[in-house]
Amino acid sequence: MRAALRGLTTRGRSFLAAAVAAAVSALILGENDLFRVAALLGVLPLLAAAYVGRARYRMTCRRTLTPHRVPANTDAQIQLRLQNLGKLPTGTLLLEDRLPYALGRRPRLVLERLAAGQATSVTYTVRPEARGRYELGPLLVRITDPFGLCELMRSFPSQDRLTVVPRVTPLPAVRLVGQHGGAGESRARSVAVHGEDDAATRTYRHGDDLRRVHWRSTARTGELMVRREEQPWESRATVLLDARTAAHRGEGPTASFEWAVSATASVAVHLCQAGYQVRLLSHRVDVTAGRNGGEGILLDQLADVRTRPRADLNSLVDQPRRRADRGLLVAVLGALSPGEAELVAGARASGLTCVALLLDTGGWAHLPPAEREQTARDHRTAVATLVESGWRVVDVRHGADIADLWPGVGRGPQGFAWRAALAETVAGGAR
Amino acid sequence: MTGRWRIGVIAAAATLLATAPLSAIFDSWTWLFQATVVVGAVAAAAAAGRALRLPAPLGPVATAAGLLLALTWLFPSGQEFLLLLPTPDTLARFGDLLAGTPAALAAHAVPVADDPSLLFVSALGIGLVAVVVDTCAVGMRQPALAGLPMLAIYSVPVAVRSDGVAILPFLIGAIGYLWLLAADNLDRVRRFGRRFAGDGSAIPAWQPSPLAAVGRRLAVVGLAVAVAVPLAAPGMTGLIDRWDPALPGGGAGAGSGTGEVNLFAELSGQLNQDATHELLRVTTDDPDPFYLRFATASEITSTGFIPRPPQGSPVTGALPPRQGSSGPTYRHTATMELTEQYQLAMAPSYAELAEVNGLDPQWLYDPDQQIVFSNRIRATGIAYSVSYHRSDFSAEALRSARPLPENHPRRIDTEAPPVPEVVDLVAELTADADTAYDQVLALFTHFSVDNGFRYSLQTGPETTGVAIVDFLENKEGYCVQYAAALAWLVRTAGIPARVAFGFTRGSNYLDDTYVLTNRNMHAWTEVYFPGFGWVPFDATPTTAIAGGVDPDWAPDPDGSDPERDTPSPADEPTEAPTDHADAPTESPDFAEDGAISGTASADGSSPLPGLAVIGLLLAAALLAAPGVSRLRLRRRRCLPPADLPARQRAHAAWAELLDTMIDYDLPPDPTETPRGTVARLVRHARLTGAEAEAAGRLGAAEEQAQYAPAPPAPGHPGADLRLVRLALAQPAGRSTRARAILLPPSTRRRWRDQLAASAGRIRQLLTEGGLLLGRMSPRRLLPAGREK
Repeated sequence: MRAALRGLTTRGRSFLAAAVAAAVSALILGENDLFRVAALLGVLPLLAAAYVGRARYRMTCRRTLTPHRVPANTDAQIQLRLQNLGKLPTGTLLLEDRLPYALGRRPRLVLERLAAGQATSVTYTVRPEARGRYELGPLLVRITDPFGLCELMRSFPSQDRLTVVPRVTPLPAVRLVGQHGGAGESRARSVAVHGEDDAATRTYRHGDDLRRVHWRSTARTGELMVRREEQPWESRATVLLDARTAAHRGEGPTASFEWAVSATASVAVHLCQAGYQVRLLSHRVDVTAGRNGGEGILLDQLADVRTRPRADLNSLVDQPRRRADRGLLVAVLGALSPGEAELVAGARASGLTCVALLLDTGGWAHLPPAEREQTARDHRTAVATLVESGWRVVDVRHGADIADLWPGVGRGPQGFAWRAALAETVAGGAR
Repeated sequence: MTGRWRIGVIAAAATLLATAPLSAIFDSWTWLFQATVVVGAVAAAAAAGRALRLPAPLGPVATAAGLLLALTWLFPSGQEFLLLLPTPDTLARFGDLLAGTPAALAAHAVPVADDPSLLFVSALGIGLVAVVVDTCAVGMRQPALAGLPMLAIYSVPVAVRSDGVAILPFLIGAIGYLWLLAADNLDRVRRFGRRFAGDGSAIPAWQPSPLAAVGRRLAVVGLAVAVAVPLAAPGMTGLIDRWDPALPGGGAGAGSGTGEVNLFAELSGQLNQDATHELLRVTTDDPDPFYLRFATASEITSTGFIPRPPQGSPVTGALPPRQGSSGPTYRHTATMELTEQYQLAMAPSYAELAEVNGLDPQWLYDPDQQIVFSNRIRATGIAYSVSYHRSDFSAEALRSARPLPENHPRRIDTEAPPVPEVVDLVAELTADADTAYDQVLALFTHFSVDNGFRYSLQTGPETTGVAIVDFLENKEGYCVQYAAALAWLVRTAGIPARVAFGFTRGSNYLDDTYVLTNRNMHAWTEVYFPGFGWVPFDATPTTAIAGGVDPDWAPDPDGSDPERDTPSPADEPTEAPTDHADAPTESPDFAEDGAISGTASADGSSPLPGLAVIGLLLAAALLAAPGVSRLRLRRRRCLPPADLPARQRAHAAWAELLDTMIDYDLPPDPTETPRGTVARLVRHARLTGAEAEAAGRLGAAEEQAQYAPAPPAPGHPGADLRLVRLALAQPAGRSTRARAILLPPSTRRRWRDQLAASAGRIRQLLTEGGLLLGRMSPRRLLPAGREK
């Protein structure tokens, strides 16, 4: 009751003050009729407080997020499940879930009545604009009286986390060479180019395609054998994200870094789904995802990756070289000075297919002409340096779509197209 | 948007409800019609303004325009365009009406008739209140502020009527205000967010909120408290009234407690009128009646006497016992008929009333001032009869009166502003008087013609600024001056005195009927003697007035025996002194105490006890209602009419058993068979022996009634039920038993179900009505695109 009295609204307090004033003047003037008004004004806030504070609400609240991980600009459903543990039905409850402002308007709900022991659930939708990790909650509950004289606020302390991952663009399938990265555990690539005698075969099962019958083995074993698709081939890829603050331009969701993160996510997910074991490298980030469902780990990392002002490019480009695993390296790079370009160029080791998505960051910000010119010059220099040292460079301009650029990865200097064609014939049977 | 529409409509309705207290002021209901028109016009203008999306500051302008149109239509000058558009003539007419208000106020007493000026002022005021309420509640979204203009309406009757405003108009106004408050807050809650119910289903915005039901309950409790609290603190006398009685009169020393009439001015005005008109006729069986009285003035200020606000209880109740008088008393009756010319709110009567007949409870009797008065109505044209005690004082008896004790409550009537000339005169006159009576007599005789005092309706020139000194020096004046001066002198001598107003016996009488005119109005002095009460002394020369009385204890100081037109004392009282038996024969002091306690009780006994009793009875009836309903139901079930089929009787007995179980916290399970219920009952209540058998019989009867093709008549279900009930009640706690009798859960459950059912029926009716309306909608006649 005392808490409820403290919860009197301005209107309630004004009522009490007016009641006192009316009572005093009624006493002075001797007007019984005015005293009636004073009594009404005085008793209403007390009644309201008694109503609001009449019961200690015992309630539980659970929040369910579907999905927990959501790409930016897509909807996430959040379900609140409330249960009244008390012995009294609740009055009208005004619910407001505390959301970070980046998630848009706070959802506001009016729960008219919850009987004793009853549970209810209600769902609302958020549509986050920017990637990140967001704390949902606490849920605020306001209890009000019918006249707006008293209002109590309680909150459920439980909080939940919504991970908003960068937007992933589906990429067209492109054959990439250098995808075979030496021996390792069994990974699927449908390649049967070397030594088909060691091709794994198995007995024919009902439903197998007749065209896959391995006649030679069949002849040898006297039993119908078919080629196995699975081959002990290892496909590894490293996706590298340049997160130096100096290398990127622009602000907020339209910054070049966001484009880089989104591109990194798209490439990583694409490669994951293509069967690669993907290693994501950035400053202080080094995670490796397996083939199945591993992209979640990568996306979680990318959800809250931030540019780092004191990051060192050298240590970053050194990492893929240091590990023994080779294969494919896709680097998403911001602006490179000529020196940094040399550094990156030198990071290419033999046996490593290096692809650079090099952002021309001048397009992401309004720059003075001189600086713009400088940026463009540096960009051209970097492209030249990388290409010379054997990188396949995709020149990224502002407004470009990663899905459009991705096929460019398959082309490039040094006969890449030819090697891709070779890979195509190698893998041809599988398609 | 719909929310704002709704609030606008509710604001208008609340304004209209808030005008309810005005019903106490007007005699007819014309004002209500005009208020409805005005408020409706304002609300319509506000709605139109919102529909046109006028900017918020222009809202009041639109509503004021609506008000102007409504006033133009209601109070036309005949020169309007199309009846509605005001012209300069209209405004001039409004000005005239406004200018006529003070005159109308002066001309009418509450409740007032339909005076165009007053109606215009009230319509204008209500319209302005409607404008402010709409601006506050809808424009500013602060409906709490709307209470202030509504309170302003309420304060008008509160200020005008000193006897207070009835409870009902207050309740109506308060309900309107609370409605507005709740509607606004519910609208806020509704707009807060998506609404959903406990089962997770969404609730459409228009559906009523359960909060509204809570609001109704809280409002009922709040209003009950608001009505009850002032009743618990009755007889509120304002501190102002207590501290400074001169204030309400407006400082001129001429105010009166009823706030309506300056008695002195009234008196001199009536006496100075050229025309003579009849004011009343009085018929009495008293052969030698004293003056008729209608008021006293006992508060003294430096400028003179003013009446004390009278207090009393309705004359229809038992009148308080009379003040003690040890002289011989006679009981007489008198009948008054007042004419249309009589305009005072006080009914003339004789002193020491015993009984009043023919007056309604609006008339109150003040036992202290011994006057009959009303706070509401004037005595114009009424007729009534009184029965009163006529005391006869003798000089010897009065001489034996004890001196006034120091702490006697009548000491208040000895206060007088010290005026040096007066103090000196009194000291000189009473130098050789021993008793209080002798002192009074000495002062009384000072006003004789021998001393140069002359009766004149034209008073002498004011020279000193103090009226009494002027009169004592000029020695020229009429009854008012004589009476006030004598009272002042007597008070200065330390003896309680006051001025009484009334009528002489007049010069026109026939047998025992006296016809009194405005010329017969009179004022005289009353002096208080312990043990005798108020004894009249008329210092005005009897020769100067028609119908003066020259009593034994206060003989005309001029000594002459004028041609008095009083009946000769020869017709001595024919009636035996009736009151001697019950007249106080105790010591005067004791009688005094009785009188004072009587006065004190009369002070606090406004109509409240009666109301309180009625309220208590009502409350008791309300409290008893569930129990009584249960009892009646039980009786009907246990003693069914003889022609009821056996099956119905068994069902009734069974229903009674189930209700009994509910009452004693053993709720039946609707899925159980009668046999299962009985088994559970026996198990839970640990019934044994006869009780268990009784329960078994009831169950069996119900079983047979349900399943048998022709059930046998049940034996004595009443006795069985009684057995089971007693067995259930015995182990139950005291509170459970009391609840089962006073507030049976089964009755509550039945009432709740009935309420829900009727609410459902009403809702269904409304829905059907809506469907019907939809079916009759003219839109259906239009070719609908999707039907093709």
